Amino acid sequence: MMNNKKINARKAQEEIVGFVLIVLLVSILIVVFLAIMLRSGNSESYKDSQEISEFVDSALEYTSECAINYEPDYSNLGELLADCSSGKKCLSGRYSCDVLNETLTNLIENSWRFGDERAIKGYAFNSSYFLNGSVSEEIVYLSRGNCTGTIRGGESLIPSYPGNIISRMMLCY
Amino acid sequence: MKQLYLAKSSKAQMKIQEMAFVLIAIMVLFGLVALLYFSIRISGINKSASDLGELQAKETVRKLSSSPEFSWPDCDNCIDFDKVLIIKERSTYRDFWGLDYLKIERIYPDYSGECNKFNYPECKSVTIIDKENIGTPSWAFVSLCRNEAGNGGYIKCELGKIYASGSGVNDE
Repeated sequence: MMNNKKINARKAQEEIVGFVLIVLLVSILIVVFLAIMLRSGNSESYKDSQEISEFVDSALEYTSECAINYEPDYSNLGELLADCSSGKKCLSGRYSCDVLNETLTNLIENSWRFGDERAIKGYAFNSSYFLNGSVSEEIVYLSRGNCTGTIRGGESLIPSYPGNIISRMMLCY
Repeated sequence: MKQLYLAKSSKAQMKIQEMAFVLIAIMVLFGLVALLYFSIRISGINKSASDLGELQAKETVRKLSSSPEFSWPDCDNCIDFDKVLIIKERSTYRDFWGLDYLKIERIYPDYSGECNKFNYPECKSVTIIDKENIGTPSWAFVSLCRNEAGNGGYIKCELGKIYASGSGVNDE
């Protein structure tokens, strides 16, 4: 009688162990599945944006208030990047880099709304002179806010012999 | 002997039942996980489809900005703002593109008000087409270029946006 009881208790224990094993196996499978899903969701922290590239292209066509040679031959921002890189001054007496920074900031701030409580938290804009595929000089760098979440970016290239000026803009979400 | 056989048989039945319940529980669990997986996948596919639709709509707006009616020479991303004002005045263009809404807006410098012959170029936007039920317009950044009369005359380009909505844009 006692033996029978012991055998029954042992069998019950075995079943419980089996059940626990099944639950564990299923839990591990779910955790692995969720980990894969979440990782694939987070992998796109940077996305190319046609909209931002369009903005950079259009902004570089903007006619500034800076004329280098004669008035009214006002430089657009693309030309002003090259002028700023050479340290040129406008006929008005202002430095081309100052006009460039001020105009670009106004263009960016008027095109998007930034803030901690808004969808777009901040931005970073930089233009650099590239020679033989590597950065030779950073011409302009503007930024606002912290870039910790998803980033969307776009760029534009202006040939400037013997290299290229590449302007990049990133919006931080 | 028969009683012992019956007792064993009922125990075996119980075990089979237990096993069946465990299997059913596992199947239900896997079913729920599969349901969760497919719902996430389908929502992802739906999002991709709407993203693609949005991209196509933006592409159409971009093409529109480079059409001969708007284009500015030697610049892919530029719109002739003078031409836009003239097009606004001509009613024949209302049904030319099959659109319900078409507007060109200056972003910077920041002016206000709808453009007309009297306040141009110190105005914000030119609405060429504005029908009812326009939906959500697609838009693209553009350069708005024009011939500026001051300082002996020069070309001035500013930053703007083109908005368009209609069957030709949103249903592609």
